[in-house]
Amino acid sequence: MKKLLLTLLTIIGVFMLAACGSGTESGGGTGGSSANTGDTGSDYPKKPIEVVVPAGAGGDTDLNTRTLAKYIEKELGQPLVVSNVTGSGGTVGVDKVIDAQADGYTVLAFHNSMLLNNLYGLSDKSIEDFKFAGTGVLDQANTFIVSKDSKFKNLEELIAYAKEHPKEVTMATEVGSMTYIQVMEFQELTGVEFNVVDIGGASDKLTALLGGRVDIFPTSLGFVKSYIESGDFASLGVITEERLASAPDVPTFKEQGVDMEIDKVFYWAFPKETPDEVVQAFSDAMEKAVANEEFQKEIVQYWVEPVYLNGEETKQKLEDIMELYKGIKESTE
Amino acid sequence: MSSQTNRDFVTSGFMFVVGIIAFILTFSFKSFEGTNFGVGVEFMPRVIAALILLTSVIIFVNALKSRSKKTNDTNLEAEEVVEQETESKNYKKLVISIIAMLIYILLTPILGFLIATALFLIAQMLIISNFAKEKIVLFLIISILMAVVVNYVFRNVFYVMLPQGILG
Amino acid sequence: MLEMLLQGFSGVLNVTTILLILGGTILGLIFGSIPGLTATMAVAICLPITYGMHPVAGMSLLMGLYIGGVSGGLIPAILLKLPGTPSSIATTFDGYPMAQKGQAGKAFSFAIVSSFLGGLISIMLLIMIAPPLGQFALKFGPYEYFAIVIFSLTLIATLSGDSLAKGILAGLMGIGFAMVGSAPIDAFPRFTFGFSELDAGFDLMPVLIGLFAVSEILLVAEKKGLQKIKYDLKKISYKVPFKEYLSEKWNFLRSCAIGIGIGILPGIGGGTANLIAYAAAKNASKKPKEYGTGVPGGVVASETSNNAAVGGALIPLVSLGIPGDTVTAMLLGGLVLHGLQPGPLLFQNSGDVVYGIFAALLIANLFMAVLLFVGMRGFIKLLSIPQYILLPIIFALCVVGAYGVNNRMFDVYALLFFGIVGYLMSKAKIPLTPLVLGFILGPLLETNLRRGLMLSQGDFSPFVTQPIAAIFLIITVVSVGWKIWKSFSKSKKISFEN
Repeated sequence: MKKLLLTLLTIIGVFMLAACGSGTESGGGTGGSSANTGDTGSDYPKKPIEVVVPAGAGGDTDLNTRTLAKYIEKELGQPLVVSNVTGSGGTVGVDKVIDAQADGYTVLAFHNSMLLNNLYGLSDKSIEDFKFAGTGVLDQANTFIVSKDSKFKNLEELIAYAKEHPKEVTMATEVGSMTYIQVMEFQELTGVEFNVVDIGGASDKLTALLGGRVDIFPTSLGFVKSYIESGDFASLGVITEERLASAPDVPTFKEQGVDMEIDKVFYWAFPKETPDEVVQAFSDAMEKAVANEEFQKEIVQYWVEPVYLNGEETKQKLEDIMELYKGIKESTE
Repeated sequence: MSSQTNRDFVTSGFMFVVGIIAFILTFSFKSFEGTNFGVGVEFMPRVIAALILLTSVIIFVNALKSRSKKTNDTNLEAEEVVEQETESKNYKKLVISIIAMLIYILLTPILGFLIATALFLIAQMLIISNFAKEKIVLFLIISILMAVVVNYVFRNVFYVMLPQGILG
Repeated sequence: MLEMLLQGFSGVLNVTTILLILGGTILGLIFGSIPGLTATMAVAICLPITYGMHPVAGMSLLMGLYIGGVSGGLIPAILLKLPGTPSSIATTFDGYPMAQKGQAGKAFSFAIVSSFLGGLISIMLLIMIAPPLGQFALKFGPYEYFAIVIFSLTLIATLSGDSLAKGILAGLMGIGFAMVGSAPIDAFPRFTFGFSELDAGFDLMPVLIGLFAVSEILLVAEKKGLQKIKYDLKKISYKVPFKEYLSEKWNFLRSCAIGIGIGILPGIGGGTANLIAYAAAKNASKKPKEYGTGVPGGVVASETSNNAAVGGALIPLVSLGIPGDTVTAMLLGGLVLHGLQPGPLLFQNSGDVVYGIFAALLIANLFMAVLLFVGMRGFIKLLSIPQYILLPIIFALCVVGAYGVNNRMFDVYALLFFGIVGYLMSKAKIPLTPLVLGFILGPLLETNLRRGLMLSQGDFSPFVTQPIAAIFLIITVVSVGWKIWKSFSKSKKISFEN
């Protein structure tokens, strides 16, 4: 029996490897395995790199990370192994990276939530505990979604109604998450008061809006793309500086008199004791990967922007966001 | 006085203490501004702690009742069964097994999965087989083979990053 | 519809895809049959492999994994009393006693036929009426979930064995263990005693395999003698007269409905379907006392419902883009990675791929049954491997599985801890199953209670005035009341006789 099991495992192993080999028709011949790290004089990387995603498989963090990881792999010539470490709003994954050896073989791929967990006292880890390799993806399509038969067609109508009926408009959020702080900021800026309800993750909020239990669903346009295309949902506007190329007919919040903008920054970071040249080597590979047209084609499908920021720029951007969050938190208390 | 009744006394006593500790702990929970509608973060744990106290009291009372029913035939039978049970038990083996598992888990991050697993498998096979020394060659072969195969398949085929320890 | 399905079949009937489905099903069965390795893990591991494939081929592999992963658990459940996955906990209740009586072959036959038919019916429903069924799932909000969970928790009474008080205690322990870690909604840690490792709480996997598999290893370890097989492997019969299958038809249909229903509702998960179906079968049976001693009905209920939950869970996934559990969340990621948009336009925009996936599901379901039937005689040989070799290896694999949940050692410590808890509980004659049910349902109970109150701004009345919630609560009250009345009238009878 053991022999049988072993044979089976071996067969399957071979089969899987074969599937890997024969199945990859993408790649576009960019010289897959030519590791390009000669500039730094170090021989990093020598072995597979573990990428910790502090979010569940199949979510936006996971998808963006896996997509970019595919292209960084080509530049570094070593596999990037993505592990999803969920729990406690992402703090478990963040802690795992901080506790790992600072040798460049464990990297965190996460977003703004780390700052919020720190802000709300869930975690004592934050920007200064990391050395940033950079950012590869920005999600600028944060929006408020309503269903097609909603009373509101734009922010003006929403604000007017909510002013007259305080605590009547139901906002689907998850307490302490990005959408929560957006709603807080919106209430602060416009002086309205919503009924802010914790509904759970993105899928739970989607269910709640489809089931008519909530009025507004703050999310990213990419997540509800098909519902907007089918006409089930409509967007009240995007929370950005300027209109998006991918959705030119959706007005910004700023145009409608609400001065908000926020990016979801998908950054990659190493524990802070990691040698500089290692982080630099990774950062260079990221830059090349983000510049790859194949990657850009693939990532815009999820309605996010392929934007490369280096370590310094990433850190600066996150510090600015933290300042903004702190301000909102203080003014709402 | 059967040993099962004794066990029930221990169970109820232990769970009663757990319930009280849990109830006391609920007073130190932090909660988030603006989420307290009707019931807060401490409501459910308190309900559960209270119910645990209640059920442990019920189990205690039931155990008392069964103790007073000593004259009952069924109980005598049960007692005999329990006695037979303890005869065929070997608690030393159990304790050694638990210690082996614990050492295995503690060694895994240090020695790495491969070495720790091979060592554990040999040790545990010996323990459960009552130290069948004549089979030690077989145990060695199986243990090392299994450790190598599992470690290889998971690390290199499935990319589950099992701890490498000193081999890393 | 039929035309689309035929087109779907033409898309998967090529050597590569068929091999992928076969390989996926085999791998799924292996992951399902090893306690500690689950369908979720199999899908997580293979998802990246599918990146470069054609969408239909890639998704076919994942569907094979999913179906195999849910079904493989029946092998160790029947032979060794170890549930390979949460989906096969209830299979151990009667499957193992049957094997002990020398009816392992019969248990397998019942389990495989139930798995196949349960899967088939749910996949058929998925193909024919996914959109309206998906719409139905949307009607369930916090109030409705709260009522369903209350109803499910009262089933603990059925699964308690001799002492109801101990069953309830186990259920409460499960709810308590689930409270360790971040609180729902507020996210601040509870019962962690300042250990940050506990912040994320215990994962279901280490809890489950600790309680059922590790505790079983400990129970074997304390035996003085070595276990010998009591029956002749060559004499095991696999034949089940058709009449015997037929006698379970109502049980089968009920379990099918329960599995599909629980599968459709996002967030409850297939791990509970088999327990609830088993409890329902025991309640409806004319001889409930025989359940747990090795009756086919128990195996049928468990194995029908867990495979029916697969089709059920895919219904909201394809029709709405809403995943119901961890596996379907990953499948959703897989669909998106292949450029598909699950949701209202999926059938319009990528009908060919969807029907290809449906065809792959049907083929995988067939492969699963055939592979299990072919392998049946081989699995039974597992019993000829001495326990002192098998059990240590199973423990090592449990360690791999627990580690793989979140790639951290904490889950492995939790595994051993729950192993010892499970061992002590069996010593104290406290049933384990209610603990698992409490552990899964407790968080749902609390979260939905608090979400419901946030929605109504502190008003309790919607919990009893919302129609669906009210119906479930009434069923709960009636069934509990009836049970109490029955036990009272029984005790009266006894006192008369005395």
